[in-house]
This record gives sequence, structure tokens and C-alpha cells, in this order.
Amino acid sequence: MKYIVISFLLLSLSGVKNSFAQTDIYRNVVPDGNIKLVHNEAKNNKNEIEVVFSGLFLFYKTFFSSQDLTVCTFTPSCSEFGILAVKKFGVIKGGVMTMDRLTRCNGLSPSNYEVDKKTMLLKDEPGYVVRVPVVSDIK
Amino acid sequence: MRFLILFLISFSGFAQDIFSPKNAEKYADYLLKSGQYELAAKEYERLVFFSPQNDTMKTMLLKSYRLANQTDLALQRLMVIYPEVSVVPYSPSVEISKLYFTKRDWKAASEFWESNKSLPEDDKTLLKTTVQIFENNFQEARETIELLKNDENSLGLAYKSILEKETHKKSPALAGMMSLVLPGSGKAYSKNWKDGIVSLFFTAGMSFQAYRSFNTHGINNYRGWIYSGIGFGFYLGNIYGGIKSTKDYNRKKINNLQHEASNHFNLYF
Repeated sequence: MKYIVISFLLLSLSGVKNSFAQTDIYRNVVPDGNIKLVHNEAKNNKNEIEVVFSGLFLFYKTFFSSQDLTVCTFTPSCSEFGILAVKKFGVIKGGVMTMDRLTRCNGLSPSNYEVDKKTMLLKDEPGYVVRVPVVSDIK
Repeated sequence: MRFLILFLISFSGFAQDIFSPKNAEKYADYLLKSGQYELAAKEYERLVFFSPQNDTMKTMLLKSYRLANQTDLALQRLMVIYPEVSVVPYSPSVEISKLYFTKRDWKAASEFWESNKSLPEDDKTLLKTTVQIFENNFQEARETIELLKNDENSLGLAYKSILEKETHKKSPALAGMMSLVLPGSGKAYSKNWKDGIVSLFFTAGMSFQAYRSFNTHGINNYRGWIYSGIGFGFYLGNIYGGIKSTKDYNRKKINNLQHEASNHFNLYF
């Protein structure tokens, strides 16, 4: 039984190249999987703690989040919010802010947030303060 | 016949005087009104070069830069076109104040009004009140608006009405205390019921899981401690969230008043 499974896996590996060739037909519809996602949030680390948290963030993004659809109601997403908050406010406050954000990520109170026109998601950046402009931008 | 046509065409050449200051002004005005602010600024630069003493053109130049979101460039040009700020006439003074407002540089704005001799005292008072309203300093704004000499001033009356509207704010400290006692109640206090209930579920759920794990596997097992850690994180997050939610509630109320103040300001100046 063990040898059958191993040989099946090896055979399936040999078919990997062909499966890519199949998706090439739909290259204008489906991304070919070679698109490298760049997470700018994990760059420009200033100390060891930020390096550790950026590593955890990249691990989550690569192995967990990549297997799921975009389900977060916010932009930046909760994981991105977490790393940005830790970088901006430190581990303790940033961590607490992230825990609060996780409970708010339910889509029940969309009226509390602005909508990001690009992603059509609710905008919630760590430490973002809404400022009312004094002077009109058309007069 | 051919000579007659050529003769008439030569006359039509005289009509194409698009670079005269008068036509350039018309074109710049068109660019500004059609929302092409950067191009308008370039055209007004030309006009200021032609007539360096024309304050209207200078005002329009600064306005074009402001509307094109090039406030830094406008302030750089300001130093060149008005080297002495104390003698800047009224109209450009108002535009300069607007530039500082757009940049939210309250300190530079105050310094400018103090040194400027063209702005009437009442206008300076109104501009100072505007700054205080947008800095959320309503108490000082109430004191400043009382210095207004003309009681019938429309903006003054509008500001007084806005400052009277500043109603009772909710206490973030009380929200924090409420969240400390019952998770989610701080958010509910600031009328954020749904988030409050979710917070309660998250914290209560993790606490129950921790309790069950400790009961089933004992205190030396890792499961209970993991649930406790996550639950404690949610609990702390709920306290922070309660305070933040209340601050947001207060901020929204103030922002509404600031929107109203902004509308009156833009109608007046």
C-alpha cells in the first residue's frame, strides 16, 4: 500500500508541468501563479522585534492566508494591520490594537468607517485620524 | 479675387493675439474654473511676470497652487512675490491664510496674522476662532469670538451658534471602566452595540474554553493556558476598543461641527 501511494505521488509530480500548460490557455483569465506578492509592511524593520514579527507575518501570509480568499472586511487586512500597529506603536499597544481589530472584523458596523474607493473595503489604518479640511478644495 | 482673399487673411492674423496679458488672463481664468489648476498656475506665473505689481494676479497664482495641492510650492513663491509679509494687501492675505489652513500649519498662520497690517482686527479674530475650532479647542474659541467688535458679522454669528452646539461628550475613562467590568459594555456605551456584543462573545468564549480545558486536562496542560492567553488578549483589546470607540464617538460629533464651520468659512472668505 505504501509503495502504491509513493508511486502515485511520483506520477502526479510528473504531471505538474502538464497542468501548468493547461492553465496557460486561460492565462488572460486566471493568474498563472507566478505573480510574486510583495508585502511592503514587512520591509524596513528597525529592530529585532520588528524582524521577528515581520517573519511571523510573512509566514502567515505565505502558508495560511494565501490558501484563502480575501475575507477581511477591512483594508489593510487584519494581519497587515497587526504588523503595521506593532511597528508604529510597539508590541504591547500594537498587540492590543490588533486584538481589538480582530473583534471588529465582522462587517456588522460598516457605517463607522470610510470606504476605500480602490479596494471597496472599509478603511481602518492603525492610528489614522479623520481630519476635516478647513478650506474647500474647489473654491 | 486671390489678392483680396490674401488681403483678408492678413487681417485675420491680427486677431490671433492669444498671448496678450488680457487674453492670457482670460485663458488662466478658464483653466482655473475648469479645474486645470496646475496649468492655471503656469499661466498666472506668466501674468505675474508681466505685471509684478498686480495683487489680483498674485492672489490667483497662490490660489491655483493651493487648489493644485502644491502648498509647499505656493509658500516658496510667496517668499519671492511678497518678501515683506506685513504689507501684504487684504485679498492675498486671505489666500495666504487659506494656504496655511490647507497645510494645517496653525503656528505659521498665527505668526502671519500678527505681523500683517492689512487684515482688519475682526477678520483676524474670525481666523483665530477658525483655528481653535479645528484644533478642537472649543473653550478658547468661545473666548476668542467674544472679542469680535461687529456683533452682526455673519461668520461670527454662525461660529457662535456652532460653539453653543458643542454638547455633552461621553467619557472614554468611563467606557474603559465599563469594559473592565463587563467586556463589550464600553463599546455599547458609545452606541456601538454590535461590536460590543462581538467583543463579549470573543472574550466569554475564550474564557469558557480556558475554564473547560483546565477542568478537563488540569492546570499543567498547555491547552488551558493557550486559551487563557488568547482570552486575556481579547479582554485587553476590548478595554482599548471601548476607549477608542468612545473617542471616535466624540470625534464624530466634533467633526460634524467642523464641517459646518468649514461651510460657513468658505462662504464668508
